[in-house]
Amino acid sequence: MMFSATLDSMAFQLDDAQKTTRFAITQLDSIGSLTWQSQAGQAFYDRVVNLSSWLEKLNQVLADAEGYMSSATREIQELELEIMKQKLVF
Amino acid sequence: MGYEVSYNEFDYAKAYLVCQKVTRDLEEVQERVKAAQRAAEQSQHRLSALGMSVCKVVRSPSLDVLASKLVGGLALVNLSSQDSKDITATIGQARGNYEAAEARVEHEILLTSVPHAIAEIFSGMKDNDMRPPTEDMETALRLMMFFRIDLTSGWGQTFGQQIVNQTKHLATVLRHFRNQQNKEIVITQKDPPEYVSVDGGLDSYYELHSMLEDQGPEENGKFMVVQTDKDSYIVMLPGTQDGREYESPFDDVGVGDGFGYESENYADAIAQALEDSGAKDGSEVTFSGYSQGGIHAAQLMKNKKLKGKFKLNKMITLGSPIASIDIPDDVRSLSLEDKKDMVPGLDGTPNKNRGRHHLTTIFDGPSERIKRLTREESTFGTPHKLINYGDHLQELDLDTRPEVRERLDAFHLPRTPIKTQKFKIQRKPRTMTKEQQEKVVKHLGTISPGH
Repeated sequence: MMFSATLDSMAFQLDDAQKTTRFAITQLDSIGSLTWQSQAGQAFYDRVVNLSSWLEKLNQVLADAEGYMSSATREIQELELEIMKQKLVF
Repeated sequence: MGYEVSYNEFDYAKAYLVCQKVTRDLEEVQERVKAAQRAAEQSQHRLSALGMSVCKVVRSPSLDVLASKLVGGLALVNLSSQDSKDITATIGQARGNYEAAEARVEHEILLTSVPHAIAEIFSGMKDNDMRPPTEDMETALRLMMFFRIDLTSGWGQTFGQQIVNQTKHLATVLRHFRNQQNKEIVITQKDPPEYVSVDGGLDSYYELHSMLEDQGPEENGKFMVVQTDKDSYIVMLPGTQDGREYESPFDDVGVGDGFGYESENYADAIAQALEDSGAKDGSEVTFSGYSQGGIHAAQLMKNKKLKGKFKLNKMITLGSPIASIDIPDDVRSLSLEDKKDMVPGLDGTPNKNRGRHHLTTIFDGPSERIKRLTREESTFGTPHKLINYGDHLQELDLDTRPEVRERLDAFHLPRTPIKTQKFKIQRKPRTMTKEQQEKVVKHLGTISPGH
């Protein structure tokens, strides 16, 4: 298949991006166990929580994208086969 | 200016490290998502081109959705990455503010209590054979910082940082006057391996260090590699030696090398000695240092060359001033200090526990037995003697608290005979490699003679 290497690489990139994002979320969670007593400390922690929620959204987007990977692969395979058949007819 | 000073410096420091790591992670995610998006677009273009070869319009709808999802993801990761950078900068600034404020308060307090501090130092010295105990040594050095030549600069720094900076300047001056700039430390002698038996407890480190201390001037400049099992080694580094009669890299210039150059110039010789002793890439290496040896041990735990080759996982120091040295978090370290010993205070900063892997134990002066066994005429006196630290190691090993035991047990050695090998190192004028020599010859060949 002409596209298999590109699709494999894309799948790997997406998988790795997801793993790294999840790890970053865990890292940010660890800040929550520290002491933030002052108002400023609380403000900092609020921003960390906000960033963490963005990363959760990003993780969801990446998971959705990964979901489309399999259907895109199937479609490409079918289209490629169809084109090959057409070429043989010509 | 970032967030204001809060209550817990360790939490700020940890949060700063976490934010730095997250920022790096998000940069990586950015690259991955970009690459995936590029691949999706390229696949669609290639598919179209393939379709055109059979005069057909071809497109994968799922690939379109995937590409658009990735565009959205990229926008989100770009925003998150920028936010993470901002948060990192802010918390870093807050940490800086905190340290500067602490430093200013520290100066104010000492400045308003100079007579009292001086009286305390003299009182401490009177009770300690006219040698300042650790804490008074630190105060004395802090007071000296008020009389620095560059008095106007650096007051935003803690006393500890100022003392380290001054030591670095002194190290440069010392190197210059001793003509040490163009010298490198090399192994000049390798003793035959010797098998020794130790009882396996903490005082085994004392027994092994004893093989390097006070062995006569001809033994100067030697350190030792101990193989404790198939793939584990200990590098034993001695205390300061008199380099006048027989030259030794562990002389007073060595202290400067430790503080001023992070012991970088010792790394090659030590790596060589480890390899000669059988250590391979990834072998576990523990550093054990007494006095000056402890400074090198602490510095070399973060040495890039050694870290890249071996697994540096444990460190033990006896009577060494290492408070200002950053030790990697994953290193298990055990530091012993005697309250009456002035040497651990030579960096002007109390050596504190830096995290769950680091344990500093401070003892309340030499025992009566040790006092009877030793004489006081040496520069630093009985509290700094190796035998005193051997006694403290024994005492520490009797501690039954589970949290302490868990840390100490990691340092125990096998009772079976272990292989030891001494290596002598010396400072030698730097020699050029064959490649460097060829480069110089080639360069000279390009220079035209004057008319």
